[in-house]
Parts: sequence; structure tokens; C-alpha cells
Amino acid sequence: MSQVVVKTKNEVMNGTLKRVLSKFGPLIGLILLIMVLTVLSPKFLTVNNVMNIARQSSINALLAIGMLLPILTAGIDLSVGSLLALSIMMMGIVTVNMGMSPFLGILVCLAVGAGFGWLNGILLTKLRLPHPFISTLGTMNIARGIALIVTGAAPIAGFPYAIQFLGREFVGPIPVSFLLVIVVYVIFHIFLTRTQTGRYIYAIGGNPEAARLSGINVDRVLIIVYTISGLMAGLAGLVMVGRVNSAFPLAGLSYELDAIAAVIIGGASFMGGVGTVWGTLIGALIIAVLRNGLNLLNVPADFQMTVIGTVIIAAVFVDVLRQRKSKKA
Amino acid sequence: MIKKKTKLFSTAVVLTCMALLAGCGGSKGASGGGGEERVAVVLKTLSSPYWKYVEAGAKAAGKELGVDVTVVGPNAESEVMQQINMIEDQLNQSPGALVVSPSQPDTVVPVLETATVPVLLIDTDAKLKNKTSFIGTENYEAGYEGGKLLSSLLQKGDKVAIISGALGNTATDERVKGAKAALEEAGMVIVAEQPADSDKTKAMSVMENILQKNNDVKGVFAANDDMALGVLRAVEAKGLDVKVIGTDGTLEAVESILDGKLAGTIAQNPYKMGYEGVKNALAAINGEKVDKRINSGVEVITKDNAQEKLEFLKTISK
Amino acid sequence: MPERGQYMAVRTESLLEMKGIKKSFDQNHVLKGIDLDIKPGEVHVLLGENGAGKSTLIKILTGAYQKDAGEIYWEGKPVNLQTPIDAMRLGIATIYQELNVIPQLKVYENIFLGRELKRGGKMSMLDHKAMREEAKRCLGMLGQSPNLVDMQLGKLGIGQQQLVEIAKALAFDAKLIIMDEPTSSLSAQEVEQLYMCVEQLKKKGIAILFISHKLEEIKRLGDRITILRDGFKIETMPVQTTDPDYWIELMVGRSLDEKFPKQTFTLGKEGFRVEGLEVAGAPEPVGFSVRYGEIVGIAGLVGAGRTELARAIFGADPSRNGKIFIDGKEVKIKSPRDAIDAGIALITEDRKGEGLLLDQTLDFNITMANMKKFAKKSRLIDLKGIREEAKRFIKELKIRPDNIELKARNLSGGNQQKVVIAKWLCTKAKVFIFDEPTRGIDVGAKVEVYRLMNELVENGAIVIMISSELPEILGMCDRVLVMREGKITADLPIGEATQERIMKAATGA
Repeated sequence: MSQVVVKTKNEVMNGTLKRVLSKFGPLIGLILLIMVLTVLSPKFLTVNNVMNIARQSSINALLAIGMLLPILTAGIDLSVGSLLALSIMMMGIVTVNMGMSPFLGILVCLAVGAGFGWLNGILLTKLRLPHPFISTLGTMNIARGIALIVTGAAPIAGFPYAIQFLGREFVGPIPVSFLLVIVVYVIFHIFLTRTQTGRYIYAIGGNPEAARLSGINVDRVLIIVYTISGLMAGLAGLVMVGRVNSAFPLAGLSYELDAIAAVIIGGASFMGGVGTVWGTLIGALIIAVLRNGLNLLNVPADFQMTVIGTVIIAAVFVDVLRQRKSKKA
Repeated sequence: MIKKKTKLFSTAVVLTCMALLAGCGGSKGASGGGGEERVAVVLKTLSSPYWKYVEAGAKAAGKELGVDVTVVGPNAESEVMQQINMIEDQLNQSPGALVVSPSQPDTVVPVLETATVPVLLIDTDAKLKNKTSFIGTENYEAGYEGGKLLSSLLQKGDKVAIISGALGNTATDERVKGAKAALEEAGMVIVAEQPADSDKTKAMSVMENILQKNNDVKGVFAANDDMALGVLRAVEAKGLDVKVIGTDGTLEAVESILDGKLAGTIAQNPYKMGYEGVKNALAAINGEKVDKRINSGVEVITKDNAQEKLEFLKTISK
Repeated sequence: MPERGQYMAVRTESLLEMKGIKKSFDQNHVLKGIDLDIKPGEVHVLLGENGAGKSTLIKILTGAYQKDAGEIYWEGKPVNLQTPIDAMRLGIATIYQELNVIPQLKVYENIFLGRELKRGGKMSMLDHKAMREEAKRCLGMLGQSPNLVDMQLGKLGIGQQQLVEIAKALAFDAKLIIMDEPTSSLSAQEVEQLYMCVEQLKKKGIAILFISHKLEEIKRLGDRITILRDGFKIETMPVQTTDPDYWIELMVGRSLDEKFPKQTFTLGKEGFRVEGLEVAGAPEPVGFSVRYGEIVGIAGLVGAGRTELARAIFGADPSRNGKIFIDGKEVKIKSPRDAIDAGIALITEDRKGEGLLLDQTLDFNITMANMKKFAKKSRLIDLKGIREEAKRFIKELKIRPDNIELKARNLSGGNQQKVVIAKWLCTKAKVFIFDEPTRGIDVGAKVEVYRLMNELVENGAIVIMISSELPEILGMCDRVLVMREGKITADLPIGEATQERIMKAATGA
């Protein structure tokens, strides 16, 4: 029965519709997921819970959009989780321990992230380390180490309101952190599609030699890419501090993996050159919705890992099948 | 063709996941029954024996008192934000009361401050204004008992070493303070006090270093059992006779005592923490008065009572 | 030998026979019923434009794709080629343009890669001695020295590496060797060597399915030729008694006026000059100049330093000493960006590796070297402007299919080349350096590329063409520079340039 239905559908389906389907694959997955969870849990589709998801997704969403850039250039940034920790520890030291202005603290938080990101870029382009996996693996450990050393592993609590604002406040029912995500994503969308540097990022990921011979300053673009990724780690840290009113050196442990997962589920290619801002948002939302839904169903955390792992593989596999097909044609 | 396969495949994956979830969710819902009070328990993690004991205590209380108990926790103690999310998601399902063991005490404050139901902390305390109670070990007491036990096995004037937890870990720091007090009272000479981050392997190498300088150390107090077992390995490798006392009372430590290796441990009572947590949560729901601080007590485990303890641990970890 | 059944005897004449082969991808019918027969010991040429179905047909023959309809007979017996291994077992070997060799291994190890000879059972030790001997025999069949077997493959030239691949085919008793444009990256000497090998193989009764766009080569080697167009077989005919112009007519479906549509313009003043430029691998600095109104060809053997010269001019490699003048004014070039800003374009030899973003759309590709032009005051890119510009070039260069949303990957080689050219036209370059611009593209597209060069010269651009195809150099250029070992060894006006003179300067003979 179902075979017959699929076949007739396929015949009706014209090229455009197929393209739309493959383009919106992750979105369709998200909608399916939401529908199923709505049926399974009466609490799922309530204003309260939707806003919870919005808030819970925001840290990973911010890291993921930063991560999208290195992945678009066929690279990776493993350091973001550690940079998040270091950024917030430094912010804690400046504002809580030293009692300086919260705005200076925010500046320090973002600057530490961006600074280490810049260092990642320099290591990659000027020291010519062979792959960003290596340089960022190095800075990942360095940053985590410093984050632990600066306070002797002690957490810092009691941040001023100005710092907590982003992660804590609401506008009506909507968390400020999610509004921030939307604003950041819009900016990234414009940056990637409508600016020279944005387009160069795709060009470098697609074919670095062709990009270089087309007059693109590849090193400069890569440094920008890693700096932005680090900056987003700092911003995500700021949101996290707002949510929990404390900074601790083990914050963001292995968050880079969730960020990478969001980017990949969102349809970006590890080979570089392919991936979108909206796909990444959907990837981050899929992870957050899954986690939240599984929590509501009281599914044990260990099992949640298994599900998320399966989703990553399934999402990429579907993409591989699609590409295999388009290359044959 | 492939398109079709793709779609079938993805549909299959989604449906399989959902079926599994529905199964899990369904069974939980069924056990709940109607009309019972619901208590949500969010632990640091569920993936170590210690927390399994807490879970067992909480569930036992639920069964005895007729409370629907949900116990959840992230896959590691370091998953701090995941724990916060879990607290949010549990609060969203409006339980009668919430029992929390915070991984990072400060981090739970903002979310728990918004709670409109009674909140009880177990194992680890936090500076939370609206908490109903904190139920946990007096760590100073645990350390003091450990120091006393070690002194009783040694002669006055013997050299002893202390292995502490990670820097800034208030629980292990308190234990060390207590142990020190007891050891000094008994006239022991503390020749070394070094951190090993609650880690077995690290404790082993820390102990090796201590033995390099002081190979006449007669006794060691370790602020948790994992470190005690690490210390024991270093001692055994050198073929020395050193009395080692741990803290926590894990299954592995108790087995080691039975084998005549570990001299003793000061057991915390995780089972009681879970049990008391749910019991007092119910009391709070019913408007009864609950003590702000409840000591879940410690138990000195030596060869004499290890068998008993082992059997207890085995029953509750089933 | 397999027993021969009764009805098989009827077909003994052919080694391979394909009948009514059809293949489509989605709605796209690539092969619409192709017949092909190959006899033992013949060189059978397959000729067709890109997209005519040659590569799909070969992939069916090698088991990489499955046919939708039709039959295949091997030595008279019907066969079913499900996987590449099936084809290999029958004795079908393929030499692709990109060689499948492992440069770190020795020659004999490459020959036996994946089918190593062992002393005993599956788990036993490798029998290096037997492999060496067998490798020597196979290389001997191709007239190669037995000393080659122990050389590290990566140290050999491309031509010899290719011969090793042929020896590999011989080592497992191939009866049919498919050669896909085997001479496209070989130097003249290497080409000669390959031709001799092909002759040897013929004598041994081995059939060769030869794919080439080079008409001279076909005339020289081929026995029969099959022409494909739009998924149909148009005709199979003997090579020696038919005219290449007729082949091309069949292939493109119309008669091409000329293979080389050369136009001559009045010679202007000097527009481009290179002085004392240090080039990677060259023993001494290089200099030359180009005047308006002429196309200057750079000929030479593979490895003579022509691509390196082009890259040095373009600033593609770390900067070296030397001066470059455009219209008498010196331009400083330290990077490709400088070169582009100075008005120089380099259409590289390797389209896919250095020219295109295969996963990006045509408009992206066409405008990427001159994104600046589309930056508005707000610093945002004018997407509409980009699309319009791309559409204009697609129309002008007749790029097919003419859809800017298409990814570069989905275009044929000729159209991809046009996209690369469009990219450089978009930069408003004045100096165009073409490096092997017609490699791997079909005759029809070649003519279009040549016409474009004419137009460029006519519109006041400087055009330099590096090519290993002497007919192309002689057919399109006004002046020929010949390079050997990094030096310019001859500067010949076209009137004085002959194949012999160029080859002499190129080889130093």
C-alpha cells in the first residue's frame, strides 16, 4: 500500500518540490519531532515549555553559529567550550573578585573569547599548523587549564544585574537570551550571504586554491572566522552566567561537540563550503527539543545520549544519500 | 529510488525513536497512578554507585509513603547546565516538591528561587533562601570519625598522611579539617597533606611521592574512597604495612575491607539522604514543619561490620 | 578455455558486443540505445562531445553503473556486469585520466596492488620475487626496461606512471583496455612512447577502447571509430577511409566551419612585458613581451616551466624578484589579489582543482573574483546585480544549461571552462593567460573558446595561451614562445613556426 502511495507521489513531485524537500529536510525533521512530542507529553506544547526550550537552546545556538564558520571553511573549532569557561572566569574575576564595572566585565568576557579565537586563527595561518583540529585542540586544553588555575578551580558567584540581564530576563514571555539568538542569527545570515567576507568563507571552504587564485586573502578570512567563533563562545558564556549567576571553570565542558552536532544536523558539510545559518538554528533547536522532550518523558540521561547520537548519524546519512544521488545525475 | 529510500529511512528512524520514548514515558506514567503526590528528584548524575544509592533511597521512600517519585540526573556531574535544564523541565511539570543535589551549588540558585513548591537540597548545600531543608552528611563529623578510627589503629607519635580532594571542594575540605582535628588530639604526626582531586589514579601517584620522602608513614586518611583505594595500591606496591582509611562507604571500599586491605571507611549515608529527601518533601507538601538541617549521619565501617554493609549495599543497588 | 556452446559460435568474431544499451538518471536519459562491438586486437575509438554519453557507457562497461536495458556479450556469451570486479574478472581494464596509483609504493607493488602474489594460502607471506618477475614481463611487453620494477612510482614521470598502469592491466590478463584520454597530460615524447605501446598491445591481440578528442591521434592509432551524440550511436566506421571533418560533423550534428577560427588583427604597441622574473625551478630569470592585436602561444614539453611562469606572473607562488609592466607602467604583484587589481587573469590548467567552486552556483562562481564590484555603500553585496551580471555572461558565452542557480559541478567540462572564463571577464582583466584552455573539452566548445580569444584581442586585451597541443598553437597564435627547462628557447613569428622547429626548441635536440 504505502509503496504505491510513495510512487504516485513521486511522479507528481516535480523538480522544484524535490529541491524544497531536500532543502528543508532538517525543518521537516523538527516539525515531525514537535508533533510526536506534543502527542506524547501534554506539557510539551505549552507556552512555558516552549519558552524553556528557547532559553535552553540559546547557549548551544550561539556556540553553533560561531562553529558554522570554521566548518564552512572545512575546519573545526574544538576550543569553544573551554573559551566559554575562560571568558566567564575572567569576567568573574574582573567584576566579582575585583569589583570593577560590569560593562568592563562584559567587554573582558567577549575580548577573551575573541582573543583566543584570533590566536586559533594565527596558529592555523601563520604558524601553518596542518589542521585547525590540532591548533584548537591545543587552545582547548590551554584555555581550560587557565580557567582552572585562575581561581584554583573555585567557582565565582554573585554577578551584577547588568551581566545577568541577557541570560535571565524576559520580554513578555520571551527570554532575552532567545531574542539575542535571533538577532545574532539575522546578523550572521546577512554577513554570510551579503558581504564579501561572508561569500569568501564559502569560497574558501569549497576550494581554497580556487579562492586564493581568485584574489581572496585566505589567511585573513580564516583569522576572522576563528576570531568570530571565539567571540561567540564569549557571548554564549555571558548568557550562561546570566542563567546561573555563577561562573565555574568546568563550564562548557564538551559543548563544542553539541555545537558541531547542531551545525551538522542543520545540513552543513564537513567538507566545507556547504551550510546555512537557518539550518544551524534548526539543528540547535532539534537538539534542544529532543533533550527537553526526553526530560519531560523522564527518559534517563544515558538514553538521551544514545538518541542524540542516532539523530546525528541519521541526519548526515540522509544528506549523504541525497548527495550521492545528485552527483550521479 | 534513493529519494524514496531516504524518506523511508528517516521516517523509520524517527518512528523507532519515538516508539522507544513512548515506551519509556508510558511506563513511568503508569507507575504514577492517580491522586498521589509527586516528588521530583534531580541528582548530580545517575551514573555512579553513590548516586544509585541516593536514587534507591528516594524510590524506597516513595514506595513506603505512597509518593510518585521521579529521579533524574545528567550523565556526568560536570554536566552542570544539563542539570539546570532538568530542574526547569521538572518544575514545568508542576511536582508537589523538588529534591535537588546541586553539582555546582551556586548555579541552581537562580532557577530554584523561582520555584513555587518546596525545595529540599540533599548531599550538597547551596545558598538558597527559599529552601525547605538541607539533608546531608556533616563532613566535619565524617572526617573526625575517620581521624579517630585511624588513631585507634596506631601508636601515639606515628607518622600519618592526609589525601584531600580537589581545591575548592568544600565537602572534602571539611572532612580533612575534621580528620586533622581528631589526629592531632590523638597525638599523631601529620607529615603530608596533598590533594588528589578525588581520583584513584592521581591518589596513587600522590602517595608514591609521599612514600619517596616518608617511607615510615604508618597511616593515611583519604577524603574519599576512590582516593583511599589508589593510596592502597601505592602502598601494596611497596609492600608496606600502612593503615588506610577512606570516606563514603562505596561498594568497592567495603569489599576491600572484607579482603583485609582497607582498614576502614566512614560511610556517608546516600540511601538515607534520598529516603529522607522524599520523606521530608512529603512532609513539606502536607504543611508539616521540616528541620532546616537534617544530618543524614555517618557510619564507621571496619572489618567487624563490613559484611553487613555489603549485603545492604547489594540489595539497594539492585 | 571455456567451452563454446552452439549459439555462441555465431558471435565469435567480436570480443565485446553491446546492444541497445539504455541508461537514465531520474528523468534524464543519458544513453538511448547504444550498440558497440569491439574486435580482438583493434583500436576502437569512441568520439563524442562532452555529455554525449561516453563516460556513462564506459562506466557501464566497467561495472560502475548498471544498464537499464540492453545486452552485453563477452566473447559471444551474455554477461551481467554488476560490479567493477565482474568486469575485471572478464579482462576489462581501464586507464583513467587521473591515475590510480600509489606514489609511495614501488612499481611492482603498484602492479600487484590488491592482488599480491603469495607463497601459499591466503595468510602466507608475499612472494616478492614472483611479483618482480611478472612485473618485468609485463613491462617488457610494453618495451620498458626491467629495471623499472624497483623504482618508487612517484619518482617516475606521468607518462611512465601511465605505462605502469597499463602493465598492471596486462598482469591480470586484460583482453580489453579502456583508455580515457590517455595522452592529455603527457609530453610529446611520452605520447610517442604510449603510441608504441598501443601498437605492441594490438599485436598481442588486446583490444583497446580509445577515447580522445585529438583527431591526429585518432587518425594515427585507430582502426574503427564510433561516434556518439546525445546518447545515440550515430555511426561506426573505419578510421583510415573516412575524413576527420566528417567525424566532427557527425559528432556536433552540424558542420564546423573551421577547427581554428583564427582572425588576424593589426599589431599594436607593446602592452605587456615581463622582465627578469624569477620562476620556481627555472635556472635564470625569464622575460618576454606581448603586443596588442596578437595571441602569443607558449609551447613546450610538460615540465618545461610554463605553468610555473604563469603562476609567477600572477603572484600565485611566494613572491620573487622581477618586473612586470602593463602599458609600460610597472605593476607590483605579490599576490593573486595584486595581479587581479592590476588587470591580469589566469585561467588555470586544472579547472576543478583551481578554478571552480563545484558546490556553488554559477553566479557565485562568475562573480567571486570581483565581489568588490558588487559591494554597495552599506558594504552589503548587491545580489540582484550579481545575478544580472552572471546572466549576461551566461548569455554572451552561451553557457549551457543557462540557469544561474545551477551548481558548477553539474556542468560539462566545456561549460565549466566557460564559467571560469566568465569569472575572469567579470574582473575586467586586460591580460589573459590561458593555461591549457581546451584540455578535456570537446571540439565544439574548443572552437567557442578560440572565438572568445579572438574577441578578447579584438577588444584590446592581451592574450597568452599555454598549450601542449601544437596544432592549437599553430592554428591560433600569432607568435610562439618555446620553453625548455624553465628558459625561453625560441620566439617564433607564426610564419616561421613549424612543428619541427618548435619541437627542436622544446627538446633541445
